Amino acid sequence: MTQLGNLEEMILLLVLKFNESEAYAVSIAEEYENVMNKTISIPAVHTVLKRLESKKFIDSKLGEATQLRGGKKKRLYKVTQPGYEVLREIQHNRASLWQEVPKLNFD
Amino acid sequence: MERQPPKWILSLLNSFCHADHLDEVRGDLEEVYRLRVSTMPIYRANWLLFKEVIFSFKSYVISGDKNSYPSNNQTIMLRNYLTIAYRNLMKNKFYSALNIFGLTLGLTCSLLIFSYVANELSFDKFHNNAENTYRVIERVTGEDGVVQEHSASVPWPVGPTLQSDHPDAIVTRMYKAWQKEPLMSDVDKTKKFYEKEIFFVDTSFFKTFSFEVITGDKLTALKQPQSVVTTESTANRYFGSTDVIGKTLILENSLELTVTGVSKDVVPNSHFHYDFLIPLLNLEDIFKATGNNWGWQGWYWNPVHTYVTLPDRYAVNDFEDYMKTVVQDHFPKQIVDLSELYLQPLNDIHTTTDLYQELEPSISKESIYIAAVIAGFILLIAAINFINLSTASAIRRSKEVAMRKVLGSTRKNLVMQFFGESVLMSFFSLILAAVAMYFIFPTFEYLLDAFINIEQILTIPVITAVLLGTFILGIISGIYPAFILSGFKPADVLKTSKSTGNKSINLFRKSLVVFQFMISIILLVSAFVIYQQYHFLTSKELGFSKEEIVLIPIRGTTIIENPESFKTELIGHPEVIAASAISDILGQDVPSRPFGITGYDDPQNIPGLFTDHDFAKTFGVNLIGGRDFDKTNEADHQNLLINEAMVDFLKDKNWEGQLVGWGRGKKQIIGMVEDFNYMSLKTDIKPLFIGFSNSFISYVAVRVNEGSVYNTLEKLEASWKKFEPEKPFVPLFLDQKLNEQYQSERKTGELIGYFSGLAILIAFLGLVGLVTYRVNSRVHEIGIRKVLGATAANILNLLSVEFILLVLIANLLAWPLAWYAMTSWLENFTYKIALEWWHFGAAGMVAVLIAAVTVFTRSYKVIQTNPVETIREN
Repeated sequence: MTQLGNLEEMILLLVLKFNESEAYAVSIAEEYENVMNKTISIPAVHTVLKRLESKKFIDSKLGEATQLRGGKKKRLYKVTQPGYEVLREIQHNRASLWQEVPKLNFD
Repeated sequence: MERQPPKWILSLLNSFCHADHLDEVRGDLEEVYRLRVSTMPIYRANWLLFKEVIFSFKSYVISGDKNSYPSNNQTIMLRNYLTIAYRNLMKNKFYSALNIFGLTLGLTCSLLIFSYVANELSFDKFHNNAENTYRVIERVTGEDGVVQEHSASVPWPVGPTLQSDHPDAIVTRMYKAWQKEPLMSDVDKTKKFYEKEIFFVDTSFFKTFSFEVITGDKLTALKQPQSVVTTESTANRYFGSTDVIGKTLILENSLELTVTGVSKDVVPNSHFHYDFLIPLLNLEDIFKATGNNWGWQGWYWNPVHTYVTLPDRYAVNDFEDYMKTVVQDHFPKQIVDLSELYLQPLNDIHTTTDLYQELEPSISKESIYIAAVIAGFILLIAAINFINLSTASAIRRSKEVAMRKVLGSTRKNLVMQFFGESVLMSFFSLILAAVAMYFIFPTFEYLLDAFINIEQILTIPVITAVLLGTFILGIISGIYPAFILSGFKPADVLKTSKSTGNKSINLFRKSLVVFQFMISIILLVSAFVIYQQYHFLTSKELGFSKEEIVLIPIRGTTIIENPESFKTELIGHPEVIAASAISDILGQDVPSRPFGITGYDDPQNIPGLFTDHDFAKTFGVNLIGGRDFDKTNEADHQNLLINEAMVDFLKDKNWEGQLVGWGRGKKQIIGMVEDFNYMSLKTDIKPLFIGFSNSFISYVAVRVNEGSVYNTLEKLEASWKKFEPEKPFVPLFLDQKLNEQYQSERKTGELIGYFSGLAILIAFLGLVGLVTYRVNSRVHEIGIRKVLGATAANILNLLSVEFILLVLIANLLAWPLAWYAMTSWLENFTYKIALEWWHFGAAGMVAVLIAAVTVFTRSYKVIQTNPVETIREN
């Protein structure tokens, strides 16, 4: 099974979230900052996206250009079936682990 | 107006990002930038953008898509240049090999010489105080203005006087037992050696000199009398380990010394190399142990090397002025007005050659510069080769140049391309040369008979200089092809099917070949002359026989008290012809001593040799007037012999029976001997007194039958054991000892010989390339000539005349230069060979022969080819 890093998993999830709208570096970075309360640089997102793409977990195509981007096209990403399955598997494994964890009370 | 991201930051991104990704990455960054501009100050947004561009480098260059194209025009062209350079190398393997080999040889040679030069110039620079440290020099000038003694060592009290007058200066004295090699042994006497490099030094030694002490304490190691600091290898020699603190060594079977420190072995580039350092604290014992029977610590005898480290605020001039007062206050009356003390910078010691009592052989700055010039010339010859060969192969590339121009290449592009190629080649050669150096270095050190401190030389400035030098070499080599080739007119080149060099190119290349051979011939002539001069020095008749003479050092033994009985024992052997005690090594050096001569007011410093009976017989010196010392006449012990040159010096020419002042007494001249070269052949024969003395003698000279020197040694040793059973018998051979004086001439001759050989080899490589090119470009002509009836000899003649002529011109240019160089070199010698025509002729012949052989072998194949083949080709 292909290993998925923490940040990779996170970004892959974010791509999945925007799967039906616009999943590209800037939107992913913004959402990451919202969810995680941590900043992330665009090049870092680029790097992870490239890695995910080379692992065939996501696919990309060029989108439309906007004025805000100085007339440059966006690269839009979509999660592939293997990508989706990997995420599901991780989720599944975690869930089953959580089931067996005793409920604790730290007072 | 909406804020635009700074252009320069974005162009930075353009410069490396692949075109495939440029749009999206730039878009993303610009989008974020514009969002940020509204929420933060502009400089901060700029800074973040800059940071993001830099970080993008990693994701879009290093880990870029493997199958995507490099977008950048420059990258494509660079790749193309490299490919073409590589293909050209591979296509003309012969030329490329010649080229790289020649350049590598040249670089290796000059790197070797360069390392030698750097080493010679780096002497003593490693001491922390090197800049402020000086050695005190004494100069005694005669009334006639001629320097009588110029000595690296000074009288005993100079050091302490300087120190007490200037407590903030660091003064260190070093005393080396010149007269003999003391015997050192361990406690059990199982290891005993005569040691040359024993230095008696002041406690401040390690404050002046930064030698590295590995065990023991630098500051206290020399504080106690009867302690000793040794070097690592010496400690290993005696004890087999370096953990020897507290162990005992015995000097001359009498003085017990405790090891208090072990230092690293002295680095090669130091002007002295000690094996033992012993504190100068108990002079009496030291004098006794080293067999010094003068022991006079006054202001006349000057055996002590004295070093001063001045604090920064002292001016050298002021200190020298102060030393004048020291001379005035203390020096003995007869020399006070003639003597002078001055400071010699520590870093100049190795490059000053005219000092008496110098610790180790030094080398003149001049010779170092000559070596550097030779290195430069060899490099130049190699660069010329490169120019010649690459011009030759470049002319074949004229179509490439034309094509590039048609496709839009500018002249600047082409020049850069050719520079790039030659710089690349020279760096490639540098790598090969570095590998070659690694293997050759030990041999080179062996030839030099010296060690080079490579670790200390390889500093960052030196490495930078080498890299820069290689770069410049590449530029120089590439400059000609670059500009000639880039100047081709595409239409001309593409229209004519044959590529041609024009006349001026050919003339230029020919003059380069002439230059190469000129330098090689000069070096070759020099090698011949220097080697012959060395041979002359070692085989010249000295006026006494140096063969079949064995010198037995006796200073510090009991033999010195009664040499006559030892001599009688020796003469008992049938092979021994005669034996005589003597004070100095005849033919090497006889020190000057003050003699009072009738007609001169002051005592004159005249070389004074001391011997006993049978001196003339032992050395085969001819007595031409008066008589020799008579064994039966006790009064002769107070008499003197003189040499012929002395007669000219005496005011009263009637020498026989004349009285000469010596010390408090008088000595009478009883005989005169024929002149002989009692000093090195670098000086003329000067007046000489030969006195009779038992106290000054250092050796017993034994003359044995011809051819029986080695057979007799055992018998001599047996006799020695009867007198000195404890001490090892270490005889010297006079002829060997004298030939050693001319080692530097031999070394110089040999090295220049090797380098001239290499220079010729490199020039030969260049010639091979040029001849091959010329012959190949005349293939059709040769074919047609053959069809029309020319014989092989005709054609060979036709082809070779041109090149032989070049070498002849080189000869004509080289001879006067070589003559001038060698005449000025020979002026250093009093006794010298005459320059002969064959020195020049032989060098010229070698060059012409090499040229002829090259032309013949390279032409042979073409001449043998059936003309049908060559003419039909087109």
